[in-house]
Amino acid sequence: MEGKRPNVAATTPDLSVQVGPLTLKAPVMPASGCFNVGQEVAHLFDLSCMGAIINKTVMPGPRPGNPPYRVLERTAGLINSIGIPSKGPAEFLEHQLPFMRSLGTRVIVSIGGLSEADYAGLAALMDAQEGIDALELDLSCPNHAERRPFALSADATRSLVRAVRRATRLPLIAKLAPNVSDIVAIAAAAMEAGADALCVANTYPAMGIDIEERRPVLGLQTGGLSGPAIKPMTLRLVWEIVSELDAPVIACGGVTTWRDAVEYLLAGARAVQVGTANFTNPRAIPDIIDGLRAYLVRHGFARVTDIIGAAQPPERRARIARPSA
Amino acid sequence: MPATPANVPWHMVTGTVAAAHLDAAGYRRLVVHAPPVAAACGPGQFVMVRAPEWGMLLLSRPFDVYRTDPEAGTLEILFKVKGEGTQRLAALRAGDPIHVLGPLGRPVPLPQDGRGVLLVSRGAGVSPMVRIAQECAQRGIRARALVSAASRERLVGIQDLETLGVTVHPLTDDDPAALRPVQILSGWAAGGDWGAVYVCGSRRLARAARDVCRAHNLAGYVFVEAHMACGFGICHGCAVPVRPGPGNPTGQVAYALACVRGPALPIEEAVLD
Repeated sequence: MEGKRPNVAATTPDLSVQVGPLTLKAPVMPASGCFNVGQEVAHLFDLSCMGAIINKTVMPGPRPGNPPYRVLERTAGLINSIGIPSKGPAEFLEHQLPFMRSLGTRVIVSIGGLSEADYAGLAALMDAQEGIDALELDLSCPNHAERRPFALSADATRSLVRAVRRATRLPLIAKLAPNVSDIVAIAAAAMEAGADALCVANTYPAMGIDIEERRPVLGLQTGGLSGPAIKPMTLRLVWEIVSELDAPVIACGGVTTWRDAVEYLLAGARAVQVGTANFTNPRAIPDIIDGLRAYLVRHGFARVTDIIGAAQPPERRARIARPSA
Repeated sequence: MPATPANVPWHMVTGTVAAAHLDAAGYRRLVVHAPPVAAACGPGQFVMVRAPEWGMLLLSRPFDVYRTDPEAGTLEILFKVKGEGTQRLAALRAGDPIHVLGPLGRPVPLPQDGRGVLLVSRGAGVSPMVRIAQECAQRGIRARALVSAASRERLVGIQDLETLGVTVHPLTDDDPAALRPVQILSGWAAGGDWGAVYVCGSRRLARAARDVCRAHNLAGYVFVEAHMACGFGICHGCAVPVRPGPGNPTGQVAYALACVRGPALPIEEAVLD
């Protein structure tokens, strides 16, 4: 971007972005399941700095989650098999949603389930609530013992998003799975079926074996890999989708520092989610926002939107930069 | 026994290593200057710790706090060098920075009726026992400790317990009595006025402590082990099974997070078999 620097240095660049119908004050938010709803870290930073708050996926009924061990560290990565413990929608509506609404930022409710009816039922329930800005459909958690993720198939994704689309008028964000042979086809299926944006992506199926005990470490043998190790792979997925489709993408995969966020934005993501980094640095989200702001100032950009898709070939850039994209 | 105290707000600080010690074969003790954490840390709480140079490691490591000195602003952790994380921590020297989250988890309750406590531990499991003994010394509560190790060279924490006025019974695996911890603890329980038993570092000792608690109607608390990622309740990784009881009204075995419900659980809630 040399030679394109504006004359007036932007000391407080505009961080707001448009993700489909949603305007976010900043392009950084937690990843579902990696933050609860922020109560544990509310004493460390002002949660209203985030572009949105997203809950740990609410399931149609109470679930205990998976047996231990649930987490395992590997080189630059974390393998988890948490299994979405949930207290169900009643507890969510009573205790978590009011806190989310109190934060002064966008409220995105992550819903999950094992059937289309589960998702549609939760979507209808959330549609009847005040103060929800969008739903994120978790189509890709690899840790349900009961069924394979919807997002492994374009047909299952299309059918599910369609069913949810009929149940609510709320903006829908489809959270895709990374371990597929044709991510663009599945992304296209979600958008055709009525999704307003995509979250790309989830953890990568993985496992670890205890070589002393000679058995898998995790209670359910396999889990999902997250953390710095996966970022280059998820970056490629975001790049592919943004290159091929007019779909607003929220990137989710290994964002640990502001540099990771900048990379995803340059690839064409309109926002990023921060997951595993919250575990190791509870201040990761404000640190990333501060670093992103400093990067924009250093390079003379007045708006974060100036860098969205800026690493893409020139012929794609105008299309990617359109807020409606 | 009083109820388990609630979780308190924790701090995220970069502290300084004030001193680094080799206490026994393979056991390192770091004295960490981290005043807000030291000031807030109750008996039985833990910290998440990482060295600034952490290589390709990701997660901080959890340690039960060994001792605190709020006036000096320090807390201590004791650990056995096992993997890359503890190797990197063992390489720290006085003056080095160290990242600390804490205090985490819930403090353990202590008897308030003048009865004493029994402290049962193996290896680095002596850590929370020293911190509990410190609290007991301040409150005038009698304490007696069974400190177990594989061998004499691996016994750790005994001097510090004794300095705090604890009567210590070391027990190594070459001692035939090591096979009969229930007998030792039963003898103690029968011969004194004890209110609670605390146990850490050995499932076998935990079962022995549970049996003795049942037989002598004592309150018991066991420090549970789990793979932990965050330490403060957001990752849901450190689930441990808990039996039905006051802390688990579901009527069946459920999961609790060791980091926020623990690190010590009432011994009847823990699944030890």
